[in-house]
Amino acid sequence: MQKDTARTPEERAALEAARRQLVREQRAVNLRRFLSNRLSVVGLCIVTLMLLTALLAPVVTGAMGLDPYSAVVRDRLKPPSAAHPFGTDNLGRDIFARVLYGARISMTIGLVVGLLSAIIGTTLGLYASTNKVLDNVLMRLCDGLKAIPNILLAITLMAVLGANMHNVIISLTVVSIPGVARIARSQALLVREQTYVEAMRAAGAGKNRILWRHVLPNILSPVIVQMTFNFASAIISEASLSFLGAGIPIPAPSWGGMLNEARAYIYTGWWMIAFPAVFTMLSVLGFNLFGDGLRDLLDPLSGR
Amino acid sequence: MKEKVLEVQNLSTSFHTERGLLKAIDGVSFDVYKGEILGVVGESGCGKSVTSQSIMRLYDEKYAVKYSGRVLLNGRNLFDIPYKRMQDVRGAEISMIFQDALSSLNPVLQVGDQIMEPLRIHQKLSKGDAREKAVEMLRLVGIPAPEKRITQYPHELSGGMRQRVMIAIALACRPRLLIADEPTTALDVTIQAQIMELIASLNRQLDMGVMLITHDLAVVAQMCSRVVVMYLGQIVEEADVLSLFDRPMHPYTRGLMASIPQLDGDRTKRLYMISGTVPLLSQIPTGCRFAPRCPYATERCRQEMPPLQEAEAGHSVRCWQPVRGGAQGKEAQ
Repeated sequence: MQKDTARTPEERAALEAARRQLVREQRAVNLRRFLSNRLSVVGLCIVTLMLLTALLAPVVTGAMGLDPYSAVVRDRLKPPSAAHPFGTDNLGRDIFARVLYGARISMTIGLVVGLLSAIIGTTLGLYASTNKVLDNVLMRLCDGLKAIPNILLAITLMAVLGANMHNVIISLTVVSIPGVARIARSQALLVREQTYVEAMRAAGAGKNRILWRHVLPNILSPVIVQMTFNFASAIISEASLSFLGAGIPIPAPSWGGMLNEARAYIYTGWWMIAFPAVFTMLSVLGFNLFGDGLRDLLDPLSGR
Repeated sequence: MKEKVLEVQNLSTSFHTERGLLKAIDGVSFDVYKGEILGVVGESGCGKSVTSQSIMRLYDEKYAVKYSGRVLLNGRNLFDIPYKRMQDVRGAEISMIFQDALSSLNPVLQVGDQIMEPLRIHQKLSKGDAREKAVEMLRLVGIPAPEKRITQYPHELSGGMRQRVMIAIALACRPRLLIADEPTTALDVTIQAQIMELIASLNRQLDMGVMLITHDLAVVAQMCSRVVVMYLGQIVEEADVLSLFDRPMHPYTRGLMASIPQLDGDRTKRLYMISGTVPLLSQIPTGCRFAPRCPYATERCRQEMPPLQEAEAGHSVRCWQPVRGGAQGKEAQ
């Protein structure tokens, strides 16, 4: 029983190394499981590409001498060419640059909305699981929000708040919170019934410590999965809002706004509508596939 | 006489249910002394676990439960403490280990972190100090290579190891009282013996009171100095272990003992069984609670509840006509 203290440092180092090796192997197994699902790998690739696009937009367009805002009147409605890979729009702006800058807007909104709604929703869900009254109030509020179609609710909020990027983020976050809160609440209720929560109460842990240190890590995986789906739906909602003119104000190169401008030129300039549409679709598809893969990985019961 | 760690006086616990208030335990009184192991025995549903959870005040007091009576821990009534402050007592002065070690550990936290929890909560130790103490605790409960175990997750440990870890968590702050609620039910027999041996040796080493809840009379005979037998929310017999096994007085206790299979017994004979089942809490009989199942019940038993009274020095029984003399009476024949 006291033997291990007598171990030499070398022996202890060997033990530690063996343990690290085990951890590495487990990680490798997880990675392999994720990679064995082709579709989720495709999703991961698209997500990575989109994030890179957003990050590198100024670098790429700068190197090509393109600018998303400068309108060159004699270059109006030019089809794709070497100088303008995706063509130009009705004002002579380069669509390639605008689509790349549009990725910046979409990814920022997706990321911020996904994170904010996950943080707020999880907090609400955790506390709802502790108190019946609070639970009823919060969940009826969520029901109320869910009763209105998301996009209508977002439009209403935008109309009240005014059209700019901050307000898009605020209204889309409000729309996404109920989904996360419900998942967090139902998972937290399950976890709170477990003996280990009881055992920690018996060890003297208070309400907040139990929630944040013992319940939260156990409900994190479904919340993360929901977050990736919220990410995707934020992108498509932002595009819808901008398409309807209730989102990002007009000179900014948002994909939805570009589609709106392209409506009138659907027969004369197909490239105006095609490229922003394809990028919107690809990024939403990518995040959904990635989310599915993540869910299969984190929740063995839902998988094959 | 040794110092009393815990005095339970006339403790009753009722639950609010759709059919009104149900009394799960009714007027339970017993003491636990420093350095002793008290056995609490009884069938499923007799209120053993309710008693222990009531002592720790683990139930939701806003909605679910109503207590009465007193629980004195080193002379201080726990029911006088505000509910919020009970968390300073739990894990520091009273600890508990649960039946199912497999589900009593958080699957996503490393074992070391879980042992560090009570130390960080109650003694406000820094991470480094708590970690050192956790290693020391693991060594105390007989886990080899504790430095390595500390970073493992519960699923990497065997059942016996996990129960040892649970014991380490419970004892980390050196409580005065340990409540062990059927600590070995989920383990296999050889491991059971090891865990019981560990509890007994820690009991001597740390000089704390232990309340061992079990339905296994063999364990009680081996481990405990005194025994409380519970039936349907009441104590029916209380004695030191020798006189209880030598001269069981309550028909229920005698029935329990007669239902233990004997290795050298007659194989052709059927095992003794206490007839009937434990009644529902909402249908408690008016007289003696055991009367409907008791082979000796008289009219008086069915009308009047017998008090728990001392039949011999240190041996109390709740029966109008306690059986005297002889371990195995009529039941065994």
